[in-house]
Amino acid sequence: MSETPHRTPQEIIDLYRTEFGAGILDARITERGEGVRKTKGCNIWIRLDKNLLKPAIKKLMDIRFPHFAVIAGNDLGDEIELLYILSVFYGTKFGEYMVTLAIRLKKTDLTVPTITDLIPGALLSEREKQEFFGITVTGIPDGRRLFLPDDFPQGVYPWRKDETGIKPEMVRELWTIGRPKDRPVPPVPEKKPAPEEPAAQGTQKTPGGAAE
Amino acid sequence: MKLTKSFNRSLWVFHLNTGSCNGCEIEIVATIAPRYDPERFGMRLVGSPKHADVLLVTGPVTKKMAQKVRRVYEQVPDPKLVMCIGTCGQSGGVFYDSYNLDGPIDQVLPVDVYVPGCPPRPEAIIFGVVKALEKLERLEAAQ
Repeated sequence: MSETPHRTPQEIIDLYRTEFGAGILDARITERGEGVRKTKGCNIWIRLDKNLLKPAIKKLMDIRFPHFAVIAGNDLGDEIELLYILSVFYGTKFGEYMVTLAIRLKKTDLTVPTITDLIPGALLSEREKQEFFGITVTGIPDGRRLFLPDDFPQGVYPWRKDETGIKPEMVRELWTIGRPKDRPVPPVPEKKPAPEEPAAQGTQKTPGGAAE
Repeated sequence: MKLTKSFNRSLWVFHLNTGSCNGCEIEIVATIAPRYDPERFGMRLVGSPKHADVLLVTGPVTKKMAQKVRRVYEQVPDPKLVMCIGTCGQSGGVFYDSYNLDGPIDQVLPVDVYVPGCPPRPEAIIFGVVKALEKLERLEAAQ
């Protein structure tokens, strides 16, 4: 694979702005310190129009083939935000940037095109977003559930914060259950608790006394 | 269940994670490391439940894991002990408001020794093993 030139974060954002123009809703760079020496590292955050997701990932592949990390998601109320977290210049010492491409889906139209034709490894993350957010990934090659159990009710999406989220009756409060009563008697009896010692030590404490 | 003389001399342990956050796993590894060195008493982690005498269970039992926990328990040969490590397996712990739990562990398996803590210190786990040995001695005395 022919190497493409290494670029600075600002150059990457400028490339996106010239290509997509007004489709880039927000673009910024945050800096962080890496390791003990706090070597400068950069994160690139680009929020763009939903229809530009696939061209944006293709554009990133032209810059340098990205390393796909994960798709993160967030319920913002009226919208669901999907964050495609990728990194470019993978393996370059102190020159690798995390690129986060964010799109927002209105809750009236929760569809997003699949990116598995570009990056096949994104399939698991897309399946996860489908079952946890109730979005529809159009063109997904395998739309089954991934993490949720098979008998999980339809129409309940655990990461949503609205009425389709987890119902309160689905939460089993384990601390109220206690130890089981319907078990056979153990072969040896339980040991009796030790008799309580008289509170001789308690009188030496001064009321409200500070620790030494 | 007849206990042989050698059973409580070299407990082999199989560790099973049923949805724990890995805190208890780190403490279990700290317990078997040379600082406490339980291998001088013949206690060691084994790779298969078929070789084990003790089942260490950590985590609240998630719905997908419950059936697998039962299968692993059935693969451990008799006589066997079950130890529940950590608060999760007793009361849900940090996963208290999860929708995806079948626990606590004693709803799924008969538990012999509970070690509370989030995560329990290695000393607490060793104390739990001592409690398990005491239980074995009472079993032997009752035979």
